Amino acid sequence: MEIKGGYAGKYAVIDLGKRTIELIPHQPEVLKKFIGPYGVNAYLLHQHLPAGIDPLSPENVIVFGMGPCVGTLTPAAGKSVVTAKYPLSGGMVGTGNVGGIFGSQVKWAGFDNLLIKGAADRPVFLKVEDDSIEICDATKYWGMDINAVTDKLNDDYGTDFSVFAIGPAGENQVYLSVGLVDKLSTWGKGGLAAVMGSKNIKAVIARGTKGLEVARPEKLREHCLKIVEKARNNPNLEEMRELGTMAGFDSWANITGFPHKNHTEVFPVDKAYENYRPDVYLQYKAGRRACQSCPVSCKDVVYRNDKTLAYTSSLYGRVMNWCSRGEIEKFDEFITCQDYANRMGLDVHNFTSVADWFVYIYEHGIISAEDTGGYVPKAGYEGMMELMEMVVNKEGVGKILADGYLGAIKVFGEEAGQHAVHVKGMETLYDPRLTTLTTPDFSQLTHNRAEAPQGTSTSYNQLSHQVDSFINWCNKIGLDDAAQKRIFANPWEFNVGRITMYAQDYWVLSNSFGINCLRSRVDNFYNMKIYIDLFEALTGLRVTAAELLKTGERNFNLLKLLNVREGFDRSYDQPPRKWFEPIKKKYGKLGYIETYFGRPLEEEDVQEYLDDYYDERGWDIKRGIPTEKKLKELELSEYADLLKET
Amino acid sequence: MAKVLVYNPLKCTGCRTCELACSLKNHGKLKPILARVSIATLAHRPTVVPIGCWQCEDALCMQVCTSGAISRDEKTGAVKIDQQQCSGCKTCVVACPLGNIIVSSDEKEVAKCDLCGGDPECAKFCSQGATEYKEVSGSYIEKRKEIMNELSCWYTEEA
Repeated sequence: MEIKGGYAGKYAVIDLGKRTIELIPHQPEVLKKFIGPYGVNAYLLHQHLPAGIDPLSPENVIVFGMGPCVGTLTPAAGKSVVTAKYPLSGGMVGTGNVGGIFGSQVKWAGFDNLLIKGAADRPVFLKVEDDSIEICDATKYWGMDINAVTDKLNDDYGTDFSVFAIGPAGENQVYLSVGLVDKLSTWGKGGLAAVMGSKNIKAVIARGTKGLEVARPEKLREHCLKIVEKARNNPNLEEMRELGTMAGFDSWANITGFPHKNHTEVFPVDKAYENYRPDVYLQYKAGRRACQSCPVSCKDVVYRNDKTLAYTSSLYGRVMNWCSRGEIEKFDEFITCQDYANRMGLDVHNFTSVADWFVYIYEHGIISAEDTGGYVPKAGYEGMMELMEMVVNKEGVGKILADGYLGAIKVFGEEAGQHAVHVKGMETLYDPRLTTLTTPDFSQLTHNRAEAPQGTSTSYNQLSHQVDSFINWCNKIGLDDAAQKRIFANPWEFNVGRITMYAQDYWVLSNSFGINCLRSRVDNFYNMKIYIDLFEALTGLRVTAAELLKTGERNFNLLKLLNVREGFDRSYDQPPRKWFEPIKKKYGKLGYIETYFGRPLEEEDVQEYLDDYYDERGWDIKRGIPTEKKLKELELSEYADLLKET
Repeated sequence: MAKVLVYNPLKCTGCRTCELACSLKNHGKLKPILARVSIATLAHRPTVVPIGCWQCEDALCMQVCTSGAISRDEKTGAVKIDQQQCSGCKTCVVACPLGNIIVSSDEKEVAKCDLCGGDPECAKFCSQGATEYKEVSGSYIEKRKEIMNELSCWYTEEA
């Protein structure tokens, strides 16, 4: 088999301990079988990552990967995937996605994947450039915040290098840490930066001038132009240009609401409008940035009150967290908090969620000053800034919170744990008492990342769709009639357990191509036929819709097997207790967990949906893991040994 | 009236689609360094500015060319390089005040924007309207002032 384009065609194994770098050609069969990084990264980890290791030990392995569409003009295909064993989720092997131009540069330099193992004995950074990788000394960069080190590396090596760097939080091995690409895009929620810190890698910088070959340039051009035109004619484009992700403000502030006071009530609507409505945002807006080839420019550059600049990806999600969880009252203060978190390399979703819980359990007397070493936690700007600093530097109680929910529950006790809204240590971004139990919410229980990445949406989280729109979605991804019959067994609703499998597999597939930013804004421009056409234009290989969906499933299962090996079974896929308690909504109404179409749910119903989910996947329902039969069907039989009960 | 390529840095999001579109159309490859349009970034700043050939009235590249390879296309107004006549001396590369003539080591030639024969690919692929191919009329001075005003904030701030 020959692949005529789309891929760089090789990967690198970088051993920091031995200081060796090996460049290895990719086998075309492997690329065809997994298409992109979600599967290829997992395939490489099966070869290199030992079982049962500590995520912060030198034995952990980090794999960066780029799909065939990355760096190729394909709209919205700037996404790279990193896979490693993450500390925050108690050692799950998960993935993280990033946009920006980093992945394109690595591919233009000649690599589809970079695998990093071992640990360096002193601070280093990796320089990736045109078929070569260098392990460079990073002593002078160690300790710098992310903005400072990015600027310094750009000064020292050129602005055309894309910089992926970690900050002090990562260096100090805080589990709530992330790294940032070019100061704008966060990468590796769940503690990737801590893993990099443990390996003494401060940054990876990349520049490529080799470019990429394409099997059928004219066809690629034609397909891409169609998508660009679709984007240009989108009626929401003007609003998106003006407001960016803040265009979704109403949906959060008014329609669904966002959890506040540790998921016991929703953030007050009037307060949200007073402090954060779009015209307040416009007073601070400086500009908008997009990832490589993306028509949806969701990255923000904003002014602070003193006219200095701050950067953030997807502002709206950050606003939601800082104001409803951190109770930051002024837009300028929000920017200061966000900027500090970015510079330090602290994940805002993780941090605000843990901080909200910490304040709640303290104020409700579940923990006392004795547990916090005398520290009195408080919400609001000063409290949050102070707590962030303590977490980043692991000072006082910050040392406990730095390990996230799982670590802090060990110290604060099981009663505190009962109030923590998390799945496998990762906070739940979606609360089904507000958004209903639809695919992103349910996916939080079963996804390999221990969290619902954006995009396991079948229809974006708006509560106004009819059953038809979900059927349309199933048709769009080419789902067969038999599966649709199981999903829509009742004509007035869908079975969330069953449909979530396909939402996940489709997401994994897009992720493998490099187009995994599936906010509906991007996914609107895509369907299975476009993926097939793009793949053929890029590589010269023809695939079918069924094969592609199977590839998504294969990749999901292959990564799951790494977690089966670590003991993650059904007992870990459990909903947080808080989901079954009422939440105070606007006008004093109480919210309960219900289906998308408003049918109330009990705990047993969610367990039944889990049964359905595993059944749809063809997995062992009791254990919640793949079966030998399924692995055979997915051509993954060589991994069957991992299913044996130990 | 002849159309011209108009770049607006205020609308540019730095997605660099134009670079890839240009290199794919003109070289059949996805290779930004071969692109005749490029997105310039400033160190430490988020500023991005699309830079392409202005097709100068009094084009320096044309003046310095000793082989007579550079001429103006009467139909589109583009300043073009005739590869048959080009000796490859690269004097035009040095002469261009904007750095808009590129050296393609792949094809061993110098190349510049020829407005794709009157249908520029970069404008076609720009989803943000930051690169447009259109007839110009009226005063551009005011518009330029507006843009420079906006940009000056970014140049002067001390982060």
